[in-house]
Amino acid sequence: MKTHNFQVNLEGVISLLSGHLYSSPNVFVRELVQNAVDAITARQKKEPGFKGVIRVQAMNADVPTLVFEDNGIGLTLDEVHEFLSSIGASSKRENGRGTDDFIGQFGIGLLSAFMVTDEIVMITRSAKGGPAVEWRGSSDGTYSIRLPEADYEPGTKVFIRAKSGSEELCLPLNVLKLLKHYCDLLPQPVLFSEDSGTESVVNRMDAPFLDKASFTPENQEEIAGYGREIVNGEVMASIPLSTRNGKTTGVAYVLGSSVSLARQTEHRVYMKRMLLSDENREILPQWAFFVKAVINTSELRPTASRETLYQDNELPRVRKQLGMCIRDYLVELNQTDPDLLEKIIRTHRVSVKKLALHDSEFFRIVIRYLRFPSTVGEVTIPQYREYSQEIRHIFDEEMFNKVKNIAQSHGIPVIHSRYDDDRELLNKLGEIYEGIAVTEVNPGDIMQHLEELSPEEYARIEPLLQLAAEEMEAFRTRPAVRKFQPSEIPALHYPDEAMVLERRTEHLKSQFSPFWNRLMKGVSGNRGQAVLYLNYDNALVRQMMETGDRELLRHFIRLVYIQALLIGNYQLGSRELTLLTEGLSDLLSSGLGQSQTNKPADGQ
Amino acid sequence: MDSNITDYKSFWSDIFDDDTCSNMERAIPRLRLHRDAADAANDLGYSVKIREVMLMVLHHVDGLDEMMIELLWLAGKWEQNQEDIHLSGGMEYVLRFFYYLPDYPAVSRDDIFAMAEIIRGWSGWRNRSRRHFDLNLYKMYDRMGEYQLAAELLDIMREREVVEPLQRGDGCRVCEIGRMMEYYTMLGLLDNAMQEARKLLSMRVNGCFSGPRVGLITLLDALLDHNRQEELAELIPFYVEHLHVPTRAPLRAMLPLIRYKIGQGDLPEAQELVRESAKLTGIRKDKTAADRFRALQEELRLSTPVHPCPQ
Repeated sequence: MKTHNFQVNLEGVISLLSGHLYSSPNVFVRELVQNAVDAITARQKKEPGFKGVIRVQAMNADVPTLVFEDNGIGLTLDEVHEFLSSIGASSKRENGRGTDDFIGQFGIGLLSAFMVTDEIVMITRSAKGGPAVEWRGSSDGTYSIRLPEADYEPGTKVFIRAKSGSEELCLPLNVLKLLKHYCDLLPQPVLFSEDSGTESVVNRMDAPFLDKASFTPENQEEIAGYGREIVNGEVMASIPLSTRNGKTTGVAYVLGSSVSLARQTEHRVYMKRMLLSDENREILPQWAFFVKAVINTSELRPTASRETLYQDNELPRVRKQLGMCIRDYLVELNQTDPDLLEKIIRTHRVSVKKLALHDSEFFRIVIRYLRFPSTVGEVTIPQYREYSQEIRHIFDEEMFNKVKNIAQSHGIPVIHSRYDDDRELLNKLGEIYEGIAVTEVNPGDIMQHLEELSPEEYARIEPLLQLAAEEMEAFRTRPAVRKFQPSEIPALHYPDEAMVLERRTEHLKSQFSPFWNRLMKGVSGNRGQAVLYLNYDNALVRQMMETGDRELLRHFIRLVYIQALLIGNYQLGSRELTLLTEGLSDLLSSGLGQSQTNKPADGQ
Repeated sequence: MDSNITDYKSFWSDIFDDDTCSNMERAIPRLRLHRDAADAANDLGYSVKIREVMLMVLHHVDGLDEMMIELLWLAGKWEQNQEDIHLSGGMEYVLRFFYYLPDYPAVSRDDIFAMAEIIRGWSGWRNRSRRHFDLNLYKMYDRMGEYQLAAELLDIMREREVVEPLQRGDGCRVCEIGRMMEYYTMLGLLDNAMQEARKLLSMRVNGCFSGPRVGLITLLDALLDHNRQEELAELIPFYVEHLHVPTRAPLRAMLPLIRYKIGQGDLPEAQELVRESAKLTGIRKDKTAADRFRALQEELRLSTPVHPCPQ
């Protein structure tokens, strides 16, 4: 059987690169510099200590023209034939695999230049020897080779003339901007010149934040300064990052202000110090959204577009190890700079709480700094425990509001656990530390903590309580007595959940037919209970204890009950409305009767 | 009205974008406030929409009594305003009455039957709504101990299935598969139910698992009854994987697993599941499930060998 070769349509491939693979034609600058870096790396392998340099010249002719030049290994005539004549062939692969030393490996980098030009001219001379070679490739898929007569130093020069429609991309200002963007951290100097003007180095080259050992006090300001530039704002700390094998390193800048949970922080990732992406969201764990990282890696694989990371098994490993660096830093900060740790936790509490929930050791470190809203103000757990050893919290906002004033007046600490992950964190507190009791309470539980009466005081109020028990039985409400502030409040009413539901059913009654009302009544049942707490410190309650008028006392109890319902924002049912009307009428009548009795007779 | 609907959407994502119940529990006071505001403004459309979310949330966090009151509100409003299109959204929840109402001793049997007849009148005669109604009515009879009525209804459903097979609905695919599975299982058409289950195995069902869960529980129970081990082995790993999605499983979801482990002779694992499930017995007011759980506990106790005391 005869075999045939595939025919590759270069125009189609270029369209594929520009339209689908790369997100922008601007990447041609990165691809060409990347080839230059790899050529220098190859030469350095052959000649250790060799100093490489990359030059980019932008010429403002009628048609903008660019020259990319390096003094790297260059190519021999045979290599030019082998690597530049077939798409996907690369001199940077060994046994079909890319090596750790080179940035590129896909054999498509040079082709990216066809996104901005119709012809690429390359003059190259190998450091291994041999003559210089001129390769002229056209976007129609043809190429020619000649051996120039002029003498050339080893290295490679690539000439590009902007094709129609790509002129702006090849303008000096754009190229300079792209060089700074992609090449800032490259260790080799990248020199840029416009026309025949003076060359200037465009990249910083030195990047102490990529080496954990460089995080010294002397470098602190430089590292933080770079962070401020990157985050465009203040940074609270610079955390060195490194995987165990040291092949991925960098810095995580703790942002100076809190960020929304919904916002995913984008990290800047370099691949062998060439920018891969400044919008990466995968290299750090999701919980680390309070940092922005700058990371260089030589162990992760890029996708062919070199704009994202390949989703293999290595990525989760690297992510986990980098996440551990952040966690370990925060743990260590507990010893070295607890004030800074507290500041970070305050600013980024949502993120910190999430991490603490999933990491018990981290939980132990940070729990003492986390603040919770409570009836005694916003407190940390140690501050709370100055008030009480038992940690009481209420999740439901309505319930918390019902008890807040009373608890505040009496200094009873109750945490409102509705925010973020507070409830789970408090429950975890009870699980992790033996001896710390954490209880989710309801308002009735809080009333139990109010001051009880002495036996003498209790004896004085007992008749009133007995009468109240008789009066309230029909409302399934049990009277109790406590001393609480504010003393102007004579009584508070605390129904259980079933009673709350019954009240709602009662409230809905007028809206429906007897059939539906019967069903609702059947569901809500008659099982709810409530407690009416009389306030021993209330002047009127004290006054009523002394009166022997049982009828007056009955009126008093009914009206106090209604008042307690209104204070609790409960809607009055029909029976309660009747009670209110009757109670007021009776009181008025008795008041009027008394005033009639006291009125002096005419003529007297 | 528009702002209300926007708020409704934000409720939905806030509440359900979570794999625990905490967001839901947190949402209840907020939902009550909005319900009361919508009711006070006489905004029936929004009142219904808020209740749809409430019903879902209350069901998940075991607020069954409150859920039933809100269901009754919906049903009562439906009776008053049947021509109002806004109410139709809440109607699918009304069928939950059938499952839970028999658990309330204060509701008379006559009222339960009367309510079923009222809802029968609303559900119409379209193929799917009639089947959905019958399926729930069957469950109600079964839970009330009306086995004769249940058997008669099942016969009618089987006969109808032959002449007019069940049509697939066009709502959520995952939930619809759940309903089909349950329906076929009830009718004893286990092969048909397995076909539906296999569709489920190849789908992403994360946020929706409470939809097909009831269908799967019913099917697993039937497969266990008929000792169809191969099919059980096919379904169980999927079931276990999704059991806690999106919230903790109710007690009755644990029962087929315990039965399966006992059937496999894996008594330690069955005991572990019983221990886990014991925590759930008080949570949902599902008397039938609690009774079945106690029976399984007893079965397991009897089948666990007692080690003789060393002499």
